[in-house]
Amino acid sequence: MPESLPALILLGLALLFGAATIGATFVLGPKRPTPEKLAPYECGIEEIEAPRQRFPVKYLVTGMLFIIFDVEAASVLPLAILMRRLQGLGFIELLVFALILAVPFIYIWRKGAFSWE
Amino acid sequence: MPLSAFLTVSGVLFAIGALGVLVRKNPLIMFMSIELMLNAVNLSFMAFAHFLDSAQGWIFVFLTLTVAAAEVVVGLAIIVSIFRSRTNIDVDELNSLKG
Amino acid sequence: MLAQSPFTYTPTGGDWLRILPELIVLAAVFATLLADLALPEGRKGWLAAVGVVGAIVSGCSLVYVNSLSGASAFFGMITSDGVALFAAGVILLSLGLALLFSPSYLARQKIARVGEYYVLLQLSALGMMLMAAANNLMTVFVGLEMLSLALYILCALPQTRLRSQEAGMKYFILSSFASAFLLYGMSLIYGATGATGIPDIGRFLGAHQAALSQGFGPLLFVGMSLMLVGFCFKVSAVPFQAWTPDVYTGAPTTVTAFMSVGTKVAAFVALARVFVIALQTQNAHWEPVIWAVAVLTMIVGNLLSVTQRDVKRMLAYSSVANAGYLLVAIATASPRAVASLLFYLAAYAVMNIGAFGVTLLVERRDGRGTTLEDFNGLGRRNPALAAAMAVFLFSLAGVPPTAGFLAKYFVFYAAMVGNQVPLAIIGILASVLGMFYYLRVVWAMYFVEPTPGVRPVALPEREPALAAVGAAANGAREEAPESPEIEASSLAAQAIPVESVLTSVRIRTSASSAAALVIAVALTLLMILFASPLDAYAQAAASALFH
Repeated sequence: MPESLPALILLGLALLFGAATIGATFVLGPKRPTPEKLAPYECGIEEIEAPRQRFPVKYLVTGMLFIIFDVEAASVLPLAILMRRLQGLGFIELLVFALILAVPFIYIWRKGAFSWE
Repeated sequence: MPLSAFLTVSGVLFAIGALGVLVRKNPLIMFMSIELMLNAVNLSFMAFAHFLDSAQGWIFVFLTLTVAAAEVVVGLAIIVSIFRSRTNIDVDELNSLKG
Repeated sequence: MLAQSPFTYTPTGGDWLRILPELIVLAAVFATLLADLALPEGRKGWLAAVGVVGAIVSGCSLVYVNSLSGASAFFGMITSDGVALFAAGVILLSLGLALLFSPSYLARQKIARVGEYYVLLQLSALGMMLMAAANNLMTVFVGLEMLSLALYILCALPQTRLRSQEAGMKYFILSSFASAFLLYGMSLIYGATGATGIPDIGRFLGAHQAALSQGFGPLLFVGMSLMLVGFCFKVSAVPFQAWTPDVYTGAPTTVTAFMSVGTKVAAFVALARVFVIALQTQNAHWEPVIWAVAVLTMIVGNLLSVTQRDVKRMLAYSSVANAGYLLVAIATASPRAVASLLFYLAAYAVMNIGAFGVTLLVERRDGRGTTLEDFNGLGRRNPALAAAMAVFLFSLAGVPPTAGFLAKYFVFYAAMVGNQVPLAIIGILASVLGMFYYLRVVWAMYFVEPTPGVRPVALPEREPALAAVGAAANGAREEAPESPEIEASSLAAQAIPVESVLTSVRIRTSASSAAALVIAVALTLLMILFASPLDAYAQAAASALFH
C-alpha cells in the first residue's frame, strides 16, 4: 500500500524516537534501586513516619472537586457567549446544565465532602 | 508551518505516552502518560481544525479536555484507594488476580 | 479541505424528545442521589427500586420515541433510529436485571457506599445508551468515556477487597490507554475526511475515492487501524482480551454481569456504525483485519474457557468467545448481519446476566467460592437455582430452542448468505467446542456429589430479604423455592469432630433476585416465541442504517 508509506514512516519514526528516549535512559542512567526509591513517595529526606499516614487525602478531595467546577466553568463560557443567538432554548439548555450540576452538588454537600475534617 | 509538522509532534508525543504506559510500572506515571497521549491527540485535532478550517476539531478538543479532567479525578481516586490498603503501588505487585 | 458554514444551529423541542429515554435515566439518577440522602442506612435497597422504575419508564418511552418521524437530533450528534432504540432496550433490560440482583448481593458482600453504586450503575447505562445512539464520533467518545468512568469506580467499589481494587486499577489504566488509541484514530479520520459525523464521513468517502489516493489516504488508513485497536480492546477481542478475565473476576459480580453485556451492546453498535456505515467504502481494507480478529477471538476465547476451573472466570473468557461471534456479524457487514448482531446482543444480555446472577448467588461472602467444585451437587442443594443455571448454560452453549441458539443461528446464517462461509464454519466449530465447558458446569451441578471439605465452614447465610421491588411482589418475604441440604464441611486440620461443624450452607435467594432470575429464564426460553417480530424490527432498523 504505497500511499500509506509516509504515514507508516511517520509512525515508525515516532515509535523509534520514543523507544530511543526511554532506551537511552535505561542504558545511560544508573540503576540502584533501594526500597526508598521504589516507595511511591520519594523526596530524599528520611521518612519520619509511614507514608500511609502522611497521605493528605483531604487535599485530594478538594482538588478533585475543584477540577469538576473548573471544567464546568469552561463549559458554560461558550454558551454564555452565544446566549443571544441561542435565545430561549439556549437558556433552557443552560438551566438543564445547571440542574445536572446542582443535584450532585447537593449530594456531595450533604455527604460532607466540603467539610474539612 | 505545514500540517505535517504538527502531526509529527503529535505522533511523537503520542508514541512517548504509549511507551510510557507500556514501560513504566508506577500507576501515577502510567496515568500521566495516558494524559500525554490525550494531549497529543488534542494537538492533532487542533492542527486539523486549523488547516481544514472546520469547527468540529475545536469542539472535539474541548470534549477531550473535559473527559481528561474527569479521568484525572477517577484515576486518582482509585490510586488513592489502593494506596490506603498498601504502601507500594508497583503494578507488577498487583497480582492477586493471576490464575 | 471542507469549509464549514458557521455554526448556526439551535436545538428545538423535537431534539429533546428524541433523547427522552436518556433523559428519564438521568432523572432516575437524580432521584437516586436525592433518595440516598433521605433514606436511612439499612433501607438503601429501595434505591434499586428507584433505578428499576427509571429503567421501566425509560423502556416505555422507547415505544414513544420509536413513533416519532425522523431520527437525527442535536445537529446530527445523536440519533434515535431503530438500532439505537433496540440497543437502548437491551441496555435498560440489563440494567433492570442487574439492579434486581444488587440489593441482596451488596448486603451479603458488605459493600459500603450503596448509594454511589446505584448512581454509577445507572450512569454507566446512560453512557451506553448514548454511545449506542451516537451519530457522531464526538458522541461515541463521550458515551464511551461516560460508561467507562462509571465502571472503573464500580469495579473498585469494595474498598476492603484488594482484588476489586486491582481490577479497578487495571481496567482504568488499560481502558483509558485504549480510549487514547480510539481517540487518535478518530482525530486522523477527521483529518482525512474533514468530518466527525458518521453519515458525513461515509458521504465524503463515497464522493472522494480519488482524492484519498493522493493525500489523505494514509491518514485514513492509520486512523482506521488505531480505531480498530481501541474498539477491539473495548469489546475484549483477541489479542486485546488480556484484561477481561482479571477485571471480570475482580469486580463485584453484579457489576460484571452488567458490564459484560452493556459495554458489548454499546461498543458493538458503535463499531457497526463507524466501520460498517461510515467506513463502508473502505471495506476492502478493514474486512480482512476484522475477519482475522474474529477467528482468533472465537478460537482463543473458547480454548481458554476450557481451561478455567472458576465459573466466574470461565464466564469472563466465554464473553471473549462471544465477542468473536459478534465480530463475525461485523465482518459480514450486511444489513442482515447487523440485524443478527442486534438479536445476538439481546439474547446474550438475558442469558449472560442470568448465568452471572446464579453465580453471584452461589458466591460466598468473601467474594470467592465460584469454582466448579462449589457448583457440585447444586442440583440437589437448590434445584430451582440449578435449573435456572442449566437454562442459561444451555442457551450460552447454543442448544435449541433457547435464545442463544437462535442468536447463533441468525449470526451464522447471515455470514453464510453474506459470503463469509469460512467464518461461519469456524464459528460453528468454535461454538461446538464451547459446549464442553458450559455443559461441564451442568454436569457438576447434577452428576457430581457435593464436595465435602472444599468449602470452609460458612454460617447459614441470612440475607435481609431486601425486597427492592417488594411492593410489586406480594408475599415477597417468602424465599424462592429451595431445598436446604446439609453439607459437611470437615475441619480435619483442627481436629474437631466432623459432626460439630456440620453447617447447613444454604443458598438463599431474595425476592428481587428470584424475580430477576425468573425474568431471565423466561426470556431465554421464550425468546423463540417472539423471535420473528424482534428479528423483523432489527432487520428494518439495520437496513435503515444503510441508507
